[in-house]
Amino acid sequence: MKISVATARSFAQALNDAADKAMSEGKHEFDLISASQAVDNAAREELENAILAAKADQG
Amino acid sequence: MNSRSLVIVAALAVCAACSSPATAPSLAGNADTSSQVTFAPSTVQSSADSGAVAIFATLAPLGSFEWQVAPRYTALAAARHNAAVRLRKGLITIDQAQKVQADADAARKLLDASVAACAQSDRTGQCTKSAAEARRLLAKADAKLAVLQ
Repeated sequence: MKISVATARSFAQALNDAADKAMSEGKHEFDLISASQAVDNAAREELENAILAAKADQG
Repeated sequence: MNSRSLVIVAALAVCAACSSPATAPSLAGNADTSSQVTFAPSTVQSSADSGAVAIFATLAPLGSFEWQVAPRYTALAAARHNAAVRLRKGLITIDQAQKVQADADAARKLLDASVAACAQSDRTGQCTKSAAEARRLLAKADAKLAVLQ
């Protein structure tokens, strides 16, 4: 199974964003639930993009 | 170890030795009691064609509400990712992928509602509103998640 570089970056970016958000709010602790939600958001976007690509391939 | 410093991990690893085409069994419940940390349920996948392994795992303070919830979000992410991979490989149809997305969305709504119902305390890790309602919603989310497994 291959995972695209874009997907890996998407998950990593989601975590980075959650960490940045915590830092911008002056927090030095990581909100685990927010991070978990961010990763699911990235996975949701990946699936949505795959669906759109498959539809495009079908013409 | 400061339990609040633990973060969710969505790691991508490449393992040349992982050449089995079968999906590896889920890891669950490997508790490190000395540091009050648990390695929550995760999904490990491998494939013969690339040797790549996708790992979704969650680290959370043992016994806290987020310890109960975070693995479920991780399971959702894994289910969506699996569906995307299978769709790209032509192993499932667009309709099947859309159903996974819809079921995952329904489970996600229940998880978010459970989080809101709990309103976990940052200090104690326990629910400050309604733990019973949070548990009820988690159970409903589990029913949705079971469909995705």
